[in-house]
Amino acid sequence: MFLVGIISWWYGRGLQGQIGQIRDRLTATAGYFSIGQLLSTLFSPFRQISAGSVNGPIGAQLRAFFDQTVSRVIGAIVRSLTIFAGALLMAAQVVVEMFVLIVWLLLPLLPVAGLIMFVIGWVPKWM
Amino acid sequence: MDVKLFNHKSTRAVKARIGHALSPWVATFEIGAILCVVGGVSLLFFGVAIGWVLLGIAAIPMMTVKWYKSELRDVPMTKDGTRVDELLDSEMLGLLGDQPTPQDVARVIAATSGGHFFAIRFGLSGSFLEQVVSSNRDDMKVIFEEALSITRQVGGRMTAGVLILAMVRQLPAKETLLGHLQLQEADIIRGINWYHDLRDLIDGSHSKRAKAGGIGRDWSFGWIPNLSRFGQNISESSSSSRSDVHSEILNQLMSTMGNGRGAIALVGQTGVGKTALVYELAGRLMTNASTIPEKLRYRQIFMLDATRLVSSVDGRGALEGLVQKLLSEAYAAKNIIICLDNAQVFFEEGVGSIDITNMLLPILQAGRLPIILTVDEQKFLQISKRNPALAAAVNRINVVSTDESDTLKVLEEQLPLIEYKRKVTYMYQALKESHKLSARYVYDIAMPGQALSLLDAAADYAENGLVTARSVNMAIEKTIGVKTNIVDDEDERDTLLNLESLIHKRMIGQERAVTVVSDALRRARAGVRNQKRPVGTFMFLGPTGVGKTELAKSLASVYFGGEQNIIRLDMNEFVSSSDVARLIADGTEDAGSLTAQVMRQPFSVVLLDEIEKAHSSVLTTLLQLLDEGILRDARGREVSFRDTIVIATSNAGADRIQEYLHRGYDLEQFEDKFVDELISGNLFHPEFLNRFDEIIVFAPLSKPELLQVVDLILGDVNKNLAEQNISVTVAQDAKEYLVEVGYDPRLGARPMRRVVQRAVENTVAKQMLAREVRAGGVIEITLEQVKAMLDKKKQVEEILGAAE
Repeated sequence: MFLVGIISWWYGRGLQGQIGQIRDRLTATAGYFSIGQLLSTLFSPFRQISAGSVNGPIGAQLRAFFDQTVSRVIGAIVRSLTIFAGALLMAAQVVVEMFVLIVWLLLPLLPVAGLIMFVIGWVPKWM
Repeated sequence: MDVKLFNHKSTRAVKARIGHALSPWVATFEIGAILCVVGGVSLLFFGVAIGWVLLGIAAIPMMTVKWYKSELRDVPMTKDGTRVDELLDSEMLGLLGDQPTPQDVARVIAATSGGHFFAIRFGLSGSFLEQVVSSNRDDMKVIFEEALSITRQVGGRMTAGVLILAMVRQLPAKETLLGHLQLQEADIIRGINWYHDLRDLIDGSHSKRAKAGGIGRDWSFGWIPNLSRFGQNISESSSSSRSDVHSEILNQLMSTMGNGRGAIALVGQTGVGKTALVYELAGRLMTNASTIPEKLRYRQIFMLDATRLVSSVDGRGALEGLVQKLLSEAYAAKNIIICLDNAQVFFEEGVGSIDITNMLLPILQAGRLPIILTVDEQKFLQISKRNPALAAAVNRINVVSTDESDTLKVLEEQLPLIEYKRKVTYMYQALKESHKLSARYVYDIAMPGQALSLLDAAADYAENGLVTARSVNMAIEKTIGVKTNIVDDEDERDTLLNLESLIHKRMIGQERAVTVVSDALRRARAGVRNQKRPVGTFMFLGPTGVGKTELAKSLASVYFGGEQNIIRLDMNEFVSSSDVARLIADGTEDAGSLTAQVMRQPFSVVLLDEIEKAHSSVLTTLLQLLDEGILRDARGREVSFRDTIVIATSNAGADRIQEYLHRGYDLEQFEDKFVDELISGNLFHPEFLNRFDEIIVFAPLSKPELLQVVDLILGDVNKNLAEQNISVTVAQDAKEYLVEVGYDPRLGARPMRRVVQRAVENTVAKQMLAREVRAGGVIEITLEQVKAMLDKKKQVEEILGAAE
């Protein structure tokens, strides 16, 4: 019962749970970077710091327009960098999670594989 | 055992048993796996091939531990299961044998966390049940069937509480057991759901909740240096609770804000949970759930404590400037909801408040910045009256006080926090008691805050770290001096049983009145009275000086802890309809009003002297008091009179009583007729008199009774002389003379005290000055001495005049 139970769980509900956890972790990372949010506000002023709309002499209006443009450019750069870093991290995370999944699938075979390797007698050469 | 009811060999049951068997070995397996990996890698490093075997073997404990933690520790219940083994809590299932008896099940309950929960919280332990349930296997069928039926009521989970209830229901002495524990079946059902909620909370806390926004939110929204300084970002600290107590208001709040209607006022009494509701909203918005309106996504709530803002600036101008700056920042940031807690201090001038309505009103009217105001109900009414435009600018959402069920839910939710803070454990009975007593005795705050404050106070009276219903009773008894518990103290029991003789130590005669009042008190303390009325309501009728007021005083002294526990109102001061306001005035305006005095001192005798002189509006106001034991004060608060004895006295119709007695009637013969005469003479309305438990007519005292009164007074004189170590005795004929002189048909025995004191004390004083008596001596006063002292007619008249 024990062996049947553990193997059937490992490749059944256990595997499903593992996939669910991987999905949750990827979702959490995506949520943390909130790439959708960054894209929708890509050209908004940096931390919403801007002069806003200014009524007054043309000089003041031009200055406000300039300030706002600078703030928007800085905002776009910071957000683009964050989006890029987020995308990069998520790609790396996908690779790691795939590795975790493969280890999960192969782990029950490890005792047999270990025995075979012992019988073969091969050991890695470190030096 | 029928396998259709309980299949001991089902896959789930077997897994549960494996899990139970593995539980003590998990740590060993984990260490073993680590050692195998480390050993295997080390061997391979040194070129020894057996290292592969160790690495391979490491997989076995690793997989076992993972299986245990993910499934065996808490084997999931079978969806739509119908058998006990499909629905029973995994911890218990792993311990249950093939053919269990009720005693076996009780033993298993005692060993599980659910069993511990019920043992501590409800006083219903598995080990106790083991002693009272049967050891017959056949009895299990009924218990399991009952448990399955209860399981369907509580969301399909069969935990320890379900089996406890199923077993309790089969006990012949079920009612006695539950009564002893102050529980009902509904309470156990409530406990089962409470345990399930706690389990969900613990299981849920293992997986960290994703917060909405993260770094993207921070880069997208504004820079808020001032808000960060003066406000508190409650979105960072709040968590969404599991209860549905506020869900309706919360949904209303989200939908109103989601529709872009800017300012919302949460209006309610202190303690109803307005601020908690805002925290709940903040927690909900952070979950990023699909039900959150698009407009509210990524929004964070900043709490601005109005009182703190007012105290941190100097004057109106500075406050306006600061608030303007904070609101501008919040508006520019684009993801902030502002909450102004205790917002009333911004809309009125006074101590600790500055009126900045003119500055805030346009912002609220524009509705561009989402703002939540929490405002006290009374204050909001005052503000609305003063400034209707302000009331129109906000969307009002009323937050009302919770009922018993919701209050208990809130208390259950808050309990882990209080227990952690106060280092105590609360029993469920304490929660119920807290709701019951706080509703009655805690003023100025609404539910659930009312019950929470009492529950917190009860922690100081915990016994061995456990807060019981008794602790809550003690908290009330010690803070406001009300006896709330059913009598269990030996001294008090004696006092109650001998109440009549104790009262008669202070007053003579009026046996019926004394008995009736004593009976009422005994009923109250034995817990058999109507809890929704005063302890007793009595109308004492009779001429002056027969002991009406003295009985009230005696009662206050003997039972209510002293004569100071009498609340005495001379009703001749309430002769016009406008005096009703004085009767129910707020304590801050008139500390001597009836309601204010009873709020301070709810366990007392309320003496309404000369009730016949009060205006009819005053009597009408008192009707609710006599009927339901409550009176609303000027602020609309219900003041409880349910722990008072209300005594109204009147000497209306005293002449008629004398007349009846002169004509040879006994009291019992004319009592009813006399009361009818009072009604027909329009002295009292029948609906007023009918509200009293008893109407007692006091007869004038007889001569032998008056002689006893003289003895009582002499006792008092002797008490005073005890300091000089002198005592006084009065000859019998002298006492009779004192009665003759001291009794006045109009004033009853009232002048007696002065006459006796004057005669005796003057005689003693003279003898002491003449050195006729020394310390330790006894003065014997004769008839001649009394006569010599009192026969001066003028002196007697003087005394009588003073008594009048």
